[in-house]
Amino acid sequence: MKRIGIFCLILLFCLAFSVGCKKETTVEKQDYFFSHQSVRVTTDDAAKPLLDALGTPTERIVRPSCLFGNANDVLYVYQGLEIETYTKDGIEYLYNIELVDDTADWKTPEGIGVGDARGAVVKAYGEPDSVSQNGTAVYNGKDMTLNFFYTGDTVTRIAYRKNV
Amino acid sequence: MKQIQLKRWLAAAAILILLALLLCALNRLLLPKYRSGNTEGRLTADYYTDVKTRHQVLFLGDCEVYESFTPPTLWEEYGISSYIRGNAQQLVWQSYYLLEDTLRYETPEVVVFNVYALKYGTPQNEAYNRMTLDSMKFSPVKLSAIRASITEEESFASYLFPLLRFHSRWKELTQDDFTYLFDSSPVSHNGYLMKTGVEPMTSSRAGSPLTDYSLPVSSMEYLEKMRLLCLKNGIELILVKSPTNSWGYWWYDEWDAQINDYAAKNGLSYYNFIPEAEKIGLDFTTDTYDAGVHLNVSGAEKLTSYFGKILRENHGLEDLRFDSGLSAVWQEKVVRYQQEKEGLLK
Amino acid sequence: MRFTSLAFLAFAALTVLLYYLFPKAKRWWVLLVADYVFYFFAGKEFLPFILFTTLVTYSFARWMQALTDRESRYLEEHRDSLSKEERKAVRSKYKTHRRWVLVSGAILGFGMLAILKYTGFIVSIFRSSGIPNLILPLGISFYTFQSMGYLIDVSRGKVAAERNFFKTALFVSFFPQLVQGPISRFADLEPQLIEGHPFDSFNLRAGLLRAAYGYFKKMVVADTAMIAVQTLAARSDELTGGYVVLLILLYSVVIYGDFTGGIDIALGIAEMLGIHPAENFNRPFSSRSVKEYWNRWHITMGSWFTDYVFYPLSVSIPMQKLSKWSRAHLGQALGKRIPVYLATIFTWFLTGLWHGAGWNFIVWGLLNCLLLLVSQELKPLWSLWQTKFPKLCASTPWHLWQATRTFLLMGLIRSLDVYRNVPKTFRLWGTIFSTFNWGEIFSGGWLRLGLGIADYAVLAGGILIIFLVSQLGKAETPLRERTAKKPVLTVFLLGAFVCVILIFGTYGIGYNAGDFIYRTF
Repeated sequence: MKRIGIFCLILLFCLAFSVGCKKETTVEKQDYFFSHQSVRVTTDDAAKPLLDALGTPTERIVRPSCLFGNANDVLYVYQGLEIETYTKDGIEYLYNIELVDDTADWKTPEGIGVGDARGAVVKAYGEPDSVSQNGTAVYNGKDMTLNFFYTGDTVTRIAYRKNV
Repeated sequence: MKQIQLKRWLAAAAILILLALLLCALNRLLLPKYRSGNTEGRLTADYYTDVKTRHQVLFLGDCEVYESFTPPTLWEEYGISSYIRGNAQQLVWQSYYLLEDTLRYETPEVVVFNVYALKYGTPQNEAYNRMTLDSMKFSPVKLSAIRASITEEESFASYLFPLLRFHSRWKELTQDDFTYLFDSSPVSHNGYLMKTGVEPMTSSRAGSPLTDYSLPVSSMEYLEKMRLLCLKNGIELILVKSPTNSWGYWWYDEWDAQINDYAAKNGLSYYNFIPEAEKIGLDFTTDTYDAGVHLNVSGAEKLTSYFGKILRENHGLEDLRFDSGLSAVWQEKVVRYQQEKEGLLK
Repeated sequence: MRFTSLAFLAFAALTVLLYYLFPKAKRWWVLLVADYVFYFFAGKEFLPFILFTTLVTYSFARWMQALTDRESRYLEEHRDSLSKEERKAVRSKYKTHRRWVLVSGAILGFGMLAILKYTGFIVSIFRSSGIPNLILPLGISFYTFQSMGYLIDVSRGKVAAERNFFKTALFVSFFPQLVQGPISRFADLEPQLIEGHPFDSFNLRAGLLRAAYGYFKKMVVADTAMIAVQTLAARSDELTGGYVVLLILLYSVVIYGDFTGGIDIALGIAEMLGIHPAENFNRPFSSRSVKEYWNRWHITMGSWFTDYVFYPLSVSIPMQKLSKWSRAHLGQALGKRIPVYLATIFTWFLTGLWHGAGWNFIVWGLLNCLLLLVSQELKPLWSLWQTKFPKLCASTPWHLWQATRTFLLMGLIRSLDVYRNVPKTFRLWGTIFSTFNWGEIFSGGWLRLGLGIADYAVLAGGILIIFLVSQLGKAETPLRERTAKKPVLTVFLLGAFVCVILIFGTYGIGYNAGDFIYRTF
C-alpha cells in the first residue's frame, strides 16, 4: 500500500515537472531587419540613424491627427524607398519601411529587391507564414510583418510593417 | 449607553457621506476638461445640452462627420434640424451605442453614418476611448459601449469611476479645471467643431497597397446592428463617405465596393463624396485646414449645402422653419455660429 | 489577482463576509475554497504544484506520525519486558526510520522548488544559450518552506500530524500569506485556521486599518519611489556616484513599503477573520546592529533558517566531529569557531539562494554573513569602547548613528537586488567615492528620474507618516488596536486612507499628454 503511495507521488512529481518544462521550448519569433550602410533596423526602432544615413528625402509628408494640432506621423519618400515614422515621447520611431519600386535597386539584407522572382524570395526566406487575400506573401516577425507584394511571379513591393 | 451607540453610528454615517461627496467632487475636478486644446473631448457631453431640441437628422462617425457637416448651415439653407454625434476616431461600435444612447432621448428621421471608421475592427486607442466615452451619461448603453471599446490595458472600473484613471492629474490641474468645474456650455455647433484655418493640400499621393482589403467582420457586424436598430425605430439609415481622401487616410476602392454591395443588398443609400468633390465645389487649396485630411469651415459649408439638397430631394426631409419655437432655438445657434466664424476669421 | 487589484479587494471582502455567514464549524472550509479560488486566478497552471506539495506534506507527515504511534504503542505494550538499552534501541530504530521518511519528503518538496527555481540558474553557469525558462508558481518559496517546516516539526515530535487532508491543504495554502509570507509554524497557525472565529467588530476594524495602512505603504510610498529606482537601475551606466546613494535610499523605501505593506495587507485580512499569524517585522530600520536587524526584518524567514538549518546543522554529527577535530588541531580559539562559521556561512548561502536564483542573491546572502561574523569578531573591541565611553554609548545621538550605519549598510548590500549583476554593483559602489556628482543631482538630476517635485513631496509625506506611526507604535498595545477601540476615529481614518490612496497612489495608466496620442489614425 505504502509503496503504491510512493509510486503515485513520484509519478505526480514527474507529471508536475513535465508541466513545468513545457515552457522551455517556446522559441520567440525574430523580427526581420532592413539595412542601409551600417544601420540595421526594424519597425519600432528609433528612426534617426536610418533617416540620417539616407539623407534628404525627395518628399516629406506629415499625417495630421484627428485631434487638431497633434500630428505625429511622417512619411519620408526616397527614390524607390518610403519610410513612415511615428513619434512617442518626443522620439521618432520606424513604423513602416517599404521598397516600392526598382528605380534605385534597394535590397533587403537577404538580397531581395523589387523585380525579383518568387523563387528567389522563397530561397532567401523560406515559405511564407501566410499568403493574403491578394496574393501577398507574409512573413511574421515578433511585432511586425515582412510582406512581399507580387504581380504574377514578380515582386512589386516589399514592406516591413509594424503590427497594429 | 444606547445613546452613545446611536451617536457613533450617526458620526460614522456622516463621515461616510462626506467621504462619498468628497470623492465625487474629486472625480469631477480631476476629469480633463478639454477646454483649452483637445476640445474634441467635449463632443459627447455637448449632446446632452441639446436633447430638448427636435433633430430630424443624426450624423454618426469620426472626425469625417464633425469636421464635414455644419448643422447651422443645414438649418439656414434647408430648415433641417440636425445633430452630429461624432468623436475623434469614433469606432463603429461607439457610433452604434451613441445611436442607442440618442434613442433614449429622441428618435430622428434619418441617421447619416460616415463609413471610414469601418476599417477598424478592434479597439484602438485609450485616449480616444476616453474622449468618446467618459462624458456619456450613465446607462446600460454606456456599459455596453465601454465593454466593446476598452483596449487590453484599460480597466472597466476606471470608466465607471474615472478617478481611478485620472487621479494623478492633481499634479497638472490648471485654472481650466476650476473654471469649468460646473460649466457644461457646448464647444461645438450641434456637434460641429469649427476649424477656420487654411492649409492647402499639396500631395495627391495614394495610400500604400494593403495585404488584405476586406473590412473587418466585427465592424461590419456593428454596421448591421445599426441598420437593424434603425429599421426597428423607423429611421432611414444613409451611408456617406466624406470627400476627403489623402495619403494618410486613404479610402480604398476595394472598401468602397464592399460598402456599395452592402448598401445595395439592404436597400440603403450610399453617397461617396470623393468623386463628387468638384461638383460640390470643393477646392482643396482653400477648403482644408490640414492639407486635405479634414475640411475647414468653408469646405464643410459647401458639402453641407450639397448634402442638404440630397436630403431634401431624395429623402424628403421637411423644412421646419415654419415652426417658430424651433426657429427661435436655431436662430440663437446660427448667431453663435456666425460669431465664432467671424471672430476666428479676423 | 494582485493584492492591489480591485478584483482582489472584492474577493477579500466576499471571503470575510462568507466566513461569518457560515456556521462556525464549517468556517475553515470557506478559507480553503477561497485559497484555491485565489490560486486559480493567480494561474491555473500553478495548481498542480501546490497540490503536489500538499500531497507530499500530508502523506509524509501521516507516515511519520504512524511510525511515532507505532513506536509508542510498542513501547507501551512492552513496557515491562524491555530493558533500558532495548528501549533506547527501539527509539533509535524508529528515529532513523522517521528521518528517512523526512529526507524523502524533503527531497520531494524542496526538490520541486529547486528544479523549478534553480534549473535555469545552474544551467546558465555552464552554458550561455538554451537556458530553460521554467514556470515559477506563485508563492512556491513560501508555501514550500512553511510545509517543510511542518514536516520537520512532525519528525521531531513537536506537533502531531494532521489527520485531515483538507485541513493540511488549508495550512499549506492560506491565501493572505501565500504570496509573500509570513512563513507560519503549524503549531501556531493551524489551530487558528481550523477554529471558527466568532465575528468581532473590533477585529474587523483593526484588520481594516492594518490592511489600509498596508495599501498606503505599498501604493503611495513604495510604488512611487519604485519609479525612480527603475530609472536609476535602467540607466545605471550613466547614473553613478551620488545616484547610487540615491538608489540605495530610495530602494530601502521601496522594499520597506512594499514588503511590510504587503505583510500588513495579509495580516490585516487575516485579522478580519480572527486569525493572527506570526509578525514578520518589528520596526527593522531602527535596528542598531546587523544582528538586531535580522531579528526585526523578515522575522519568520530568519527564524525558519535558524530553527531548521542553522541549529540542526550545528549539532549534526559531522559538525560535532569537525568541531572535535578542529579544536584538537587548530587550537581552542580557531577550532571553536570553524564549525559555527561553516554553519553560518551555509545558512546565509541558502538564505541568499532562497531569495532568488542568481549570483547577486548569493553574494547578498554571503555579505550579510560577512557583516555578522565581522561584528561578532569585533565584539570585544566594542565592549572595550563601551567601558571607555559609557555615557556616549548610552546617548541618543550614538544610537541614532548606530541605526543609520546599519540602515546604510543593509541598503548598500540590498542594492545588489536592483542592479542584478555582482561585478557591476561593486563597480557602482566604487563610484560613490570616486564620482562626485552631487552638484548635478541637486541642480536638477533628481527631477529627471521619472518623479517630479510633487511626487517627491508625496513620498516625503508618506515617509513622515510611516515614521510617526512607527514611533507611536512603540507602546505595549499596537497602535491600530488602540485606534480600533474608537469606531468613529477608525471610520474617519479609513476614509482618509481611501482618499489618499486613490489620489496619490501609483496605479493605472499614467495620464499625461505624452501618452495621449500614441499611434493616431
